[in-house]
Amino acid sequence: MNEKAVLRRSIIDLCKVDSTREESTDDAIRKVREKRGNDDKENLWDYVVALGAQLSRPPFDPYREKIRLKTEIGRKGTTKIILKIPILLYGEFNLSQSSQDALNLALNDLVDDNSTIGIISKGEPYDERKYSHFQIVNDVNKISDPEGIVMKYDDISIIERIKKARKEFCGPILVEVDEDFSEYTHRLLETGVDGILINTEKITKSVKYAEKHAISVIHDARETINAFYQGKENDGVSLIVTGDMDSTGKIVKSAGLGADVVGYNISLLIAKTGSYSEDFFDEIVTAKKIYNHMIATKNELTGIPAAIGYSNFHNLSPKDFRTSSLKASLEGEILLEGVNKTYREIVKEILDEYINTKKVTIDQQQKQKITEMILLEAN
Amino acid sequence: MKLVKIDTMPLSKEIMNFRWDMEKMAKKGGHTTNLKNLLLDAQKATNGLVPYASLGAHVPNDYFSNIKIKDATINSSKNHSDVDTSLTIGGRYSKNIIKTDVPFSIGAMSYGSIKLPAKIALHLALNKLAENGIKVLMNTGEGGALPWEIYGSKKSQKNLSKEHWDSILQYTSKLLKDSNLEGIDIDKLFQRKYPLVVQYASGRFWKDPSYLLNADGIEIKIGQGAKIGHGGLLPGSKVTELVAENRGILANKPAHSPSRHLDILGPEDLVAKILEIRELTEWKTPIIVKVGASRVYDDMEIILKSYADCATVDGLSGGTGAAPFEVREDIGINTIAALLPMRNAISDYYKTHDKDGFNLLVNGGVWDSERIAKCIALGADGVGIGTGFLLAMGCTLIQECHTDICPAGIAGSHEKLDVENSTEGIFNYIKTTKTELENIVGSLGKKNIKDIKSSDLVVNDTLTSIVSKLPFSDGEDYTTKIKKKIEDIMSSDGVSGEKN
Repeated sequence: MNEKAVLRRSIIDLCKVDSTREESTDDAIRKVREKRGNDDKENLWDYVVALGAQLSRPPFDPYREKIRLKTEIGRKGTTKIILKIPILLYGEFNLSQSSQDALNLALNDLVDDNSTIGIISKGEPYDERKYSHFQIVNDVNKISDPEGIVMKYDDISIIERIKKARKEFCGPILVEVDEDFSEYTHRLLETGVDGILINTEKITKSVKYAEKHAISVIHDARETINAFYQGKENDGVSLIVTGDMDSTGKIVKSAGLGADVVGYNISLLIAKTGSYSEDFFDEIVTAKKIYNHMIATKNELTGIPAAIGYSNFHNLSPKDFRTSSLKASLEGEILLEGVNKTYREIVKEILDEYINTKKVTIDQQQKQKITEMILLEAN
Repeated sequence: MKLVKIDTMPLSKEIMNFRWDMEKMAKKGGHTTNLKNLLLDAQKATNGLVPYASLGAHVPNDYFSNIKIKDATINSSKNHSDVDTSLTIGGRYSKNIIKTDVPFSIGAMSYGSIKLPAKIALHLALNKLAENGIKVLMNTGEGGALPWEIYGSKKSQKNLSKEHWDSILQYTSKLLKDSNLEGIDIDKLFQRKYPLVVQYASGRFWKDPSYLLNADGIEIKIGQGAKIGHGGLLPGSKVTELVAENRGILANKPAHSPSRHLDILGPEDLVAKILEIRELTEWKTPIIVKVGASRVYDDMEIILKSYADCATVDGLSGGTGAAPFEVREDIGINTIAALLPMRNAISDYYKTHDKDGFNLLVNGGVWDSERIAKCIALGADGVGIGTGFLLAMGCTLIQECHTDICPAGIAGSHEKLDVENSTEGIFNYIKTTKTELENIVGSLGKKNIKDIKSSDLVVNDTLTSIVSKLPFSDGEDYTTKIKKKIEDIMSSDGVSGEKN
């Protein structure tokens, strides 16, 4: 029996004539949870919420006021790419010709509707396109005619290839990094790359991020970029997050944690919207469905920042979010709901209080060790 | 209770079977969210519109079931009917007060979001309870009040011209006929025996000041838990001619109320609005300000400093008739977590002010006696219940209130709700909940629901202890437990410290 059924049964019991129940709804829910155990896959995204605007900050009205979603990709000196919705469709795999045709149609229609998104793909760009195409290339000699390129980090020799590409290519250069990004991202940024692309799905499968969630990867990537710009102004480096971004809620939350643009999986989009019959893929219908999906997503993306009190999607920041999970608080440094502190801050405060009360002297390293040992249990 | 067979629903059996199969698959694979998203994605791809949802958010952790009331029972062999479970609202600035016999009210559910038979069942049940000595508060919701709610007393009918009264009766007859409820005795219908709070929301879905003047309380709705910062919504399919007439809007068009009151943008505007209503009601009527739970401390601070008598805070799992899915799921905090900043704001305010009878009500995920008692122990004076009453009328929790396919006939359906059975269900639900509350309070050796305190509660996990400041069953709270861990680590080989 699931929790909904428990609730329903519990209230139906209350509706019987003159009969108090044997157990409360919470008693029954506890039993269901105990029986179910920890089989449920925990998705930390579900434990993260945004704070809405009301009296202390008025909300905007997405039906009557303009909410800005526009994003630029490209640092100073680069020919910038403008997206009207902060989404790049991201596809590593080769799509069938008909799928590509459907995408091309949908993306052109979105440009016509002032809802430009872009695409990251291995495939060659279409000649008759109105949108921006980021081509995934590792060999700079194989660049077709894209507006931007994506290079995959394999080792530090990529620096030389980036330099070479920079000489010949004036559009944005993005680098898809691996789990060790914190060690070399500063070098990439020094070389002049315009954006860092992280695939949370791949990185959370690595040993370094084993047992960790996408939240943790996004947080660390943003911290790495912020550390590079400490004391100076960010000149336009973008953080592009792709991986498990399959809903508007996740797009908003990842933007709150630091993503500038979200990479939406192309294969997933085609699978969700594709119009198939046994041996026929309808490009026109699929294009229309992709278009519809993106328009609906755009409207959702304007609704949430408006409700949080922003007229610009990119004003979202970690302080607008709270969590009901210790793990999410630890992985993304997200404040716990109600108490407005991270779990780490709470443990540190208790430790400081303990040290002061007991009058013990321990150094920073020891303090750090104790904190980590306590936090490890919650993680 | 009337059970509606699945094949009588306007949805095809194939679609329903598909939905159940998806749910089964989801449970098996533990991918509920992904499969739910697939359905939403299909909707987005088909019509290009923002998907809507109803009732409360799917909250993975609402803390309620991690809290226990020590040594209390809902089911007692002893008679605890001498326990006082009453609730008083108002009196801080208002001349009048609202007194009810239970510390819970019927949460804001508009005519339109729920259909007429359900509204009538609630009305009749509350009248029957009042006849049995149990007064329960009803909140109209933001969609205006029904004629018998506004003009349900002799006093409210006294100054009406004959033409006006005739037009009210004519509209009432149309309403009853439309729902095949002509058998209902209109004279009895126009006898409201319970207190009524009307909502003053950003959409202003009411036609004249009698809506405010004949109410026992007025709730200025700034936000609600299910769609904080978004404003109300009634989908066009639910705006029938009669609903439109009641709200003073166009039929068959969605009713989007603004995300904010156009004349309340901040604290000063709230004060001005409250004073305006105070003048209109000659300072008689209690005024409540309702917000969704988000920036709770700041919002509470503003409400406390306004001329409000009471605040209502609606948690994340507070229900709705319709809200954008993502807004419902992703904005707002849980009721239990919101209670701590509420308490802090109130106690900080009264450090520099004399106690003056300010009341606090909470909504969201409160369904039964134990949850009501937990909220009161954590600082609330009372609670609002929505989903519980829908369940009492036969709701199947299919969560399609925003469409017209409610199988129980509550929020919309071709099926007629059984008003008599629903009235009985609501009547019993309230009576039994009252008895359970008396048992909880009585079994703790107390005589008044207000005497339940946080010291009567314990938790079973660290996070709940952090957000509620409650101890575990061994009496230790999270701070003590963490300090013990520090001690363990320091006394083990891990870290050694020097005593000063």
